[in-house]
Amino acid sequence: MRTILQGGLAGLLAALITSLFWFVDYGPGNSLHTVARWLMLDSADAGKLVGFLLWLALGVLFGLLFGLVLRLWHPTLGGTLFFGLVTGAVNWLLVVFVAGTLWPHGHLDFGGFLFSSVPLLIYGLVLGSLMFHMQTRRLVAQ
Amino acid sequence: MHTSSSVPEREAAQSGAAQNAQEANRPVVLGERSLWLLALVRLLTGWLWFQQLFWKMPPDFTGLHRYVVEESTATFLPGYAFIIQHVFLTHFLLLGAFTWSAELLVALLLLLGVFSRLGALLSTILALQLYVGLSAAPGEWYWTYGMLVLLSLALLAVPTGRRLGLDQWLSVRLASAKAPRVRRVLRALV
Repeated sequence: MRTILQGGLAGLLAALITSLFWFVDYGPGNSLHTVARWLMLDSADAGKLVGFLLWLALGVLFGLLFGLVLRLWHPTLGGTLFFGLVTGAVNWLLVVFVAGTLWPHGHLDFGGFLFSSVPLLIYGLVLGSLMFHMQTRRLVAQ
Repeated sequence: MHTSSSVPEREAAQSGAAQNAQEANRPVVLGERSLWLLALVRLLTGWLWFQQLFWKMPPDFTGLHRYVVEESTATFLPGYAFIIQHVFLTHFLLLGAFTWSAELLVALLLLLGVFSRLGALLSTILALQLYVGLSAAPGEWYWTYGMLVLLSLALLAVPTGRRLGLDQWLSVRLASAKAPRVRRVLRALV
């Protein structure tokens, strides 16, 4: 259970760090509308806030799933980072590619594909790195 | 000959000065917090380069053309305007493809924290080119590109990919690599 909760915490921290990617623009924070649009939750008034909260919620959810897998499988540093990247890729595939792009629009534009895949991959990498740090700190403490 | 202090006092003073010098020259070891903070700076610098790909997208790199033309009139480096006009602008698509690919490479190296010092080195070169070409252009604040050069140099000085990046894994792998020369070169880029 502890590993799963650690995954959730690492997911939240990774989402907080990578939320800066969506914030730094001419808005600031106009890119957060893109995040809200993935699940058709965008609006002119609350789109930025909804986008930010959705980004955090997805971060925690995929962090918990990451922790669940790591509870059953104890990878090395390379394995944790690689599986973090895979988690980011799965997040992108399920939420952005299928639910946010293909399903409502039926086509894929190259710019949008590139722009959304990178923050999610980096989220996964940061998740893996934080999780490895948390787990090794626990081991050292023991 | 008159002296103001005795031999033991002078020896004690010399010993104290040596200790102070040793302490002052002790190697600085970065703490965990500093490394995490610098890793965050690396991530956002990588994002900076990544974001700037989208106003000069392939296949025509339209957004870039205006700035290359501006560089040909605003550069402060003698002879550079000639190169821009007669080499870069006449082969603009090639220049666009090279610039876009180089910026994508820098962005990916810094974002993923893989060979992050190589990423920082390439970032420094690209930023220097921007400084030479655009810092004296009308409406530009000359420090903008100067700061980008300095930021890239700071990332070159510190192994920022060892936290929140793949260099953390790569540095362990390279430490146990068998070819010493290759290992030395590659470790310098991590």
